[in-house]
Amino acid sequence: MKRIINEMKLRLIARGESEGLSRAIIAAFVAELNPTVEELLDLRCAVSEAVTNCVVHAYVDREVWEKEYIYISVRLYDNREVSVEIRDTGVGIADVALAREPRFSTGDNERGGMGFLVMESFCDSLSVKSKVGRGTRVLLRKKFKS
Amino acid sequence: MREGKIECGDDKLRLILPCEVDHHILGMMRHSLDKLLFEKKPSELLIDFSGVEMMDSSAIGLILGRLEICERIGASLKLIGVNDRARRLLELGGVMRFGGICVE
Repeated sequence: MKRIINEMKLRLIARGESEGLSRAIIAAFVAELNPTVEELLDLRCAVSEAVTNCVVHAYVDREVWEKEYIYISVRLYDNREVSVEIRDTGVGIADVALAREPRFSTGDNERGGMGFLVMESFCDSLSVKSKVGRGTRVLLRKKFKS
Repeated sequence: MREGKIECGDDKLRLILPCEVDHHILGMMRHSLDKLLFEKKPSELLIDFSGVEMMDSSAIGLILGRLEICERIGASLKLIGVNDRARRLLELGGVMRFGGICVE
């Protein structure tokens, strides 16, 4: 059975600057597992996609800036696995299966709608749970090679 | 950390991407790039990936959006300095299959 060796919880305001900040913090946190440069870039890229979704899509209907948070929870396991949960309490996604399809985007055409596909490709597993009006939870898992 | 910048040559615009490319960083550069594209109407837009270390799918949106503008103003779009990692992401997004984009 795998055991947790460390855990971190972060709460950031859903603003653009949080994209780079969350990548940097998570990269520092997983450093003790000595991932390769490529593995680390994969994880940073997947995190960037999930956090961007919170920034761009989650809080479109709200105006209460102070409550627009992104909740990130990272766990390291002794089998060199890392799990990253990225959660918001925003508008939610009505049809998760549809949203996960490439090219789906509720934003303008400046966004490729490739976020979930990238998360899926750059991690070992991706789970997305969402409730309309309640928020979305994305769980990424990646195991670094030994 | 390398910053992004826009260089204007005669009849060419070159967007040099920063070492980290995400939705927020591109959002800050896009406005001035588009303004220059419409003002100068260059014959070629070069997007330079050579200094990119970390990039997410926001780059795909950037390319597709600029392709639209380039078609409108009659400019060609060229991607230069695309390394293996950037290529993998662009291929995932199907960018390589789009007509009108030249990858060097």
